[in-house]
Parts: sequence; structure tokens; C-alpha cells
Amino acid sequence: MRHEGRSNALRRWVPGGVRLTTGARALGLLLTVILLALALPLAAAAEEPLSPEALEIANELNCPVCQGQSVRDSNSQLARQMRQVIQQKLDAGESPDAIKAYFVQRYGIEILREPPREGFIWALWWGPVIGLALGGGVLFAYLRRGASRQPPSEESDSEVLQRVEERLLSGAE
Amino acid sequence: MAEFGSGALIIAFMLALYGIAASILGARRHVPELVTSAIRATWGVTLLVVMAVIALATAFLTHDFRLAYVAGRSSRDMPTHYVLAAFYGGQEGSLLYWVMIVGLLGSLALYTQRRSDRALIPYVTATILSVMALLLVILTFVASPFELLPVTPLDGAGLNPLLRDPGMMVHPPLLLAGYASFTVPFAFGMAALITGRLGADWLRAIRRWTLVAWGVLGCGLLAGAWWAYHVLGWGGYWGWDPVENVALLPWLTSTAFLHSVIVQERRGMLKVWNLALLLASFILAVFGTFVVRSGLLSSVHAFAVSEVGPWFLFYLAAVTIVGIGLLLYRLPALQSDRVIESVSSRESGFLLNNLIFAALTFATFWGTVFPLFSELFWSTKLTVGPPFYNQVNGPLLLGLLLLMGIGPVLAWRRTDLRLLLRNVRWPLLAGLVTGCGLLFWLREPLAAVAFAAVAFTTLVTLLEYLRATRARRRSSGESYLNAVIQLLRRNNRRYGGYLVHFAVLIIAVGVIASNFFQVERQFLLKPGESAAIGPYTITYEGLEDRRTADAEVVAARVAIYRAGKLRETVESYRFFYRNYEDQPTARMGIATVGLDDVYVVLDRWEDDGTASLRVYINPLVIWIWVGAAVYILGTLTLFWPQPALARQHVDRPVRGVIPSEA
Repeated sequence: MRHEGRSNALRRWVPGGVRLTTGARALGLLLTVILLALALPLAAAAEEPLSPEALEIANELNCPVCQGQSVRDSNSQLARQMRQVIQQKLDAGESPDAIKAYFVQRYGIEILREPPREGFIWALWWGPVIGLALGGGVLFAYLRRGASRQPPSEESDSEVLQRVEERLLSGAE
Repeated sequence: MAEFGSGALIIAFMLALYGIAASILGARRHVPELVTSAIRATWGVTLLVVMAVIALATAFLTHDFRLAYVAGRSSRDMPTHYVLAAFYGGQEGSLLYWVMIVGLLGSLALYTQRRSDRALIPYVTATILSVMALLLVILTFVASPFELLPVTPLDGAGLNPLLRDPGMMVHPPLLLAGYASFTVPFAFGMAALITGRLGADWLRAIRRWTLVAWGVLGCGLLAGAWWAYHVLGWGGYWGWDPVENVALLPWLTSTAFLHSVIVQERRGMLKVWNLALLLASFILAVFGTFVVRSGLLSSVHAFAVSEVGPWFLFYLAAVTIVGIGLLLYRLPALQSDRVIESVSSRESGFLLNNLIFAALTFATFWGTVFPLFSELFWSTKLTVGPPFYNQVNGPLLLGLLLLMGIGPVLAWRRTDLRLLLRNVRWPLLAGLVTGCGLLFWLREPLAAVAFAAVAFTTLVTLLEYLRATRARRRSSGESYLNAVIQLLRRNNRRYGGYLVHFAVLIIAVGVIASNFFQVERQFLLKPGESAAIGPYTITYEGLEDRRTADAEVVAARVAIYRAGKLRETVESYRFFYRNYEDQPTARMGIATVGLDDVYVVLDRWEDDGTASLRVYINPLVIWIWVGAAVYILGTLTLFWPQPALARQHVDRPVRGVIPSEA
């Protein structure tokens, strides 16, 4: 009984893993088929354990069928096969950059979790910097305007203020 | 039931339209009866929506599969709590829940403010009702949860397996309620903008309602992090996924608001900026609701693809245009009472805080929507993943941590630098020692710097408590514990706020540690075999099949040893739900051993029981959940009803030093 349960579960374990919307499901199936065709000659043998370097490379790649997760962390069949491909390529002596280039060539740059710094993608990287600079500029102008219009104020000594504050804190008495 | 529910929604919609017309007419023509009638209309709309909610919940509980929504999301074999949770498992139900929260909180706000400024109330009513009316239109004509199927199925399809988790009971209701509750402060802000009246009482009410939304949304985010950590199996709690990002955005802007509003209360500055933050928070909350339910930015959470997109987009555009227009129109009326006197003042500290929060919001928004632009304009698909956010938001968060330490010791108006140095010399020393020590020990400069910042800020905050506690003890002779409690009670805005700061610091420790020092290994093990990861040895004991009412479960048992001693045995699960056998879900085996989480993922298995396991060592993640508890506690103290203020004991009001409002 127990054994039967397991084999049922195993039989239902179809490639593709967790897919969410129907659109993504169709896309995932398509990609899985393509990848199977591409990767089967490489990943034919039994699964081999992954080295830390392979995991590191896998963490820089985006799992194509389950958006938001890296190839390292995804439970999908496709990601598993990609991990194996990475390991085999490492074993064959390829450099990490070459391996990433291989995946970019197959899936486009969206496979990279860190968008490359090139072409229009610079806008992505510079956007927050420019935003911060603009905000900082506005803040600076605001502070300066305030400082220049500052009336000579009846300034109390900060230590006195602090003592008053402590008195107030102590409340009820 | 279906007819009853959809009927209630249609009547609610018409009543809402009446209420909008009555409140505006009542305000323009000065007919108080009409305004009162509009307020009652709001209560009526809320009641009708609640009735629709009850109708839908009943349909779920009685397995009324005539309803497409019920049949598509629940089944007879699901446990009752998931059947109920399926209520908000789809777009229609979650929008209905959203509008119910708006109605309940809006009605409560109108009731509690019944004695406040009569000129403002009609516009609050109209704004709340217009938000509800829009959602009611969508719920009636575009995405009705009460739509009937032509043929009644014998059983439903069941809930998406990813949602069948205890996290489902907590995270979506909190997050959606958080989003929805931004409607109330938004309505208050709109009323202030429309009338040009923004008094101290009104501001206090706005702050309180923002605090509600901010607290609920924060809890929702933390619950989501906990859920992701237990289920999604990437060893993390926050993936900078688009849907997570958009949920964070209103939290960031409202956090900024809660800080800068203090400046407005104390110094009468930043009025326009604060209203802009309020507006932004609401727009981002609607954006968040819309993104989750539209699949616009496809991500882990975007289950539903539907027609409501254009409606929300239209609404967002309308609110943005009207809001900005009103802000510009009211610009002259909302001039600051005072100016900043010195750069080294508490005011400019708050301004810097706002700058960083605004930058965080912008950077997160930019990274989230950039792939959309990239596809539209350059037809290139892009993934903006965690590396981008770590590099861009990381430094900003570090700056925020430091500012959290410096801010509290800055004085209003002008800070004596000598005094400032005297106040921070010990924390500074502690930070330096921590930083150097950790650099030597861990050899990770960035982590050392971040921990040093945490140490510095923690000590400053502790000293703030200590100073105030001592002051209380000196004058009243209370015990330390009692003094701290009295401090929180009488001065909750300041010391409750610091409690939330503590929560952030505790969470920061967990985040820094797990980000820099996570270890991951992958093993292929036969039953009985062992493998080593870090200081741990894990032994895979074998697989087991189980059956629950609605699923088949495969469990892998793993024993965790440290220094030859068995510390804990965990099970990592795979669930195969009926109707969703091709989408197995998981629950991780997580053992907290000392300060580490040993996190076991069952990846794959063979017929002979050989399993492929991924194991992570996540140091200090437990701190994040402890921090979450402190966050909730701190937020609750902020709602503590305030007794008569300490300022009564001062002969004359001393402007700028009343600590109870800082």
C-alpha cells in the first residue's frame, strides 16, 4: 500500500514543476520541450551532485519557467536539468563566464538575474542614482533657503531644553 | 445565495452613488441633513457589502458549486479553513474583501470623527464612497464573484496548491486589509486638500489612520516573508519579486509619512510634502492590489489574468491627476509656518529620512517596472533580480540604519554639536569595536560595517530609554520596569516608536547574517547515508508516503547532527494535491539549532529511495521572526490610548521640547 502510493506519486511527477498561470504553463511546457531537446545529450547520465561553484553560477541565472526564483533555488524539472548542465560544463573545464554566455545565447539576457550594464540597461542602473541626486538637490535647496531666511531666534540652550525634556518625561509628580 | 449577494452589491453601488451626490450637494449648499444622510449611506453600503461577503462565505461553506468562483477555488475534500480561505484566493473574492475593509474602516472613521470639523466630513464621505463605488462597479459588471455556471459540477477544482498553507490564513487578509485601509487616510487627506483646511486635530486623525494601515501592511509583509520561507524553498524570505516589491512600496511611503508628519505637528512645516506622501501611499496601495490581481508584472503571485486591469489603470490615472492638481491648487494655502533653522537639527534629520525612503521607493519601483519599459520600447525581456536590489537598496538601507541612530539625539531647531558628540560617544565606540571585531572574525567587510551600524543604533536607542527611565526614577522613585512601562504608556509615540526601531534592528541582524553567510549544498543520498555541511552532519533516513484528505504527501526524514550529537530530526515534504498533481508543492524541513536554521529541501527522488536534497544553513533567521513579534508589539503600543499629556505639568507651554509627540 505504501509502496503503491509512492509509485503513484512518482508517476505523476511530470517535467516542468511548479507553473502558475495557464500562459506560463504553456510557455513552460514549450521551453521544457526545447530544453529537453537541447540538454538531453548532456544530461543523459544519472544526476550528479553539484559543486559549490555550480550552485553559485546557478544562483546568477533565472529559472525560465518559474519567474522570481533562481536556477539554484527552483524545484522545477527544468532548473534541475540546467543545474546538471552547469555542472557538466564545469567538469568539462568551461569558465563560469562561458557557461553564463551559453545560457544567455539560448534564453536571451532575461536569464541573467543581474541585468548587464550595457546599452539602454544603463538607464536601469543610473535611474536610482539620478533620482537620489535630484532628491538630494531639492533637499539641499530647501535647507539653504531656510537657512538664508532664518530670523535671529530666541535660541534656548540645548542643555536646558534637554533638562526640561527630562522633567516632562518624568510625568505625574 | 448568488442572487442575494449580487443583488446586495448592486443596491450597495446605487446607495454609494446617492451618498456621493448627497455629501457633495450637502457641503456645497450647506444642508447638514444631506451630509448626515450621506454618512448613513456609507454605513448602509458597508452593511450591504458585509451581507454579500456573508453570502459568498456561506456559498463556500455549503459547497455551492453553482457559483463559478466557488467551484473554481474549493472542493469538498479541502479542510474547512482552506475552504474559507479560498474566499480571497482569487481576484473577485479579494476585491470583495477589499471593499468590505474600506467600508468597515471608513464607517468607523466617520463615526469617531463625528464631532470634528463639519466642513471636512462630507469630502471624506464622498472619497470613501467613490473608492467603494468603483470597486462595486468592477464586482458587479467585470468580475462578479456571484457568476453562475451553466452546469453545476459535482465537485470543485480546489484551491491552487501553492495557496494551501497556513500562511494563506494570515498573509493575504492582512496584506489586502493593509492596502484597503490606506483609503481612510487618503480620504482625510483629500478632504483637507479640497477644503484647504488642515488643523492639528485633523492631522492627528490622519496620522492615526495611517498608522493603522502601516501596521497592518507591515504585519502582512512579515507574514508573507514567513510563508515564503517555509514554502517556496529558496532558503529565503524575501526575493525582490515584483509583487513583493509593490507591497513594500506603500509601506515605505507611509513610513516616511509617519516620520515627516512629526515635523508638521511640531513645527508646522512640510504640509504639501506630507499630503503628497499620503496620496502616493494610496496610489501605490491601489497599484499593489491591481498588480497582484492583473498579472501585469508576471511573478510568483500573479495568478489571475483578467479584465479588471484597464479599470484600475484608469482609476490610478484619475487619482494621480486629481491629486496632483489639488496639491498644486492648494500650494499657496499650505505654506510652512516656519523654516528650517539649521542643518544639524531634528527637522533636517527627518528630511534626510524622507529622502532615503523616497529614494528606496523610487529605486524599488524603477526596478519593478523597468522590464515593462524594456519590453515595450526595446523589445528586450529583462529580469531585474535580487542582485540589482542588493546593490541599489543595500547602501540606502545602511544609511537608514545609521540615521536611525543619529536622529533621536538630534535636537529640534538646532543641535549643539558638542552635546551631540557627548551623547553618541559610547555608541560610536561600540560600533567601531563591533565593526573591527567582526571584520577580524568574519572577514566580510560589508557585513562588518552593517553590523557596526546596527550596534551603534541599538546603543543609542537603549541609551535614550535609559536616560528617560533614570529621569523618571529620579523624580518618582519607580522601579526600572515600572518606569519603562510608564514611559511607554505616557509617551508611547516616542518610546513605542523606538520599540519599532528595535524591531527593525533585530530584523536587520537576521537579514544581514542570512544574506552574507548563507551556505548551500546539494546532496544525492541513499537512505541511511550522511553528508556534511558547515559544522553539521545530516543523515537522510528515508522517504515515507502519506495520504491526507486532499493530497498525497511524500516526506523525507533527515536527522541533523552537530559535533556528533543528534540535534533534531526534520521532515521535508512534497504535496501532490488532487487535480493539481502536476504542480507539487513543498514544505521545508527547518530546524533551528542554536543560532542557525538548517533548512532541508526535498528536490527529487528515485524509486529506490535515493533522494536529491538541497540543504541551506541560514544563520540568525530566527531573529527576523523575533523582530516581527517586537514590530507587532511596538505598533500596538502606538495605539495605546494616551492619558492626559505630560505637558499639563508645565506652567507654560515650551514650544519645541514637548517630547510626548516626538
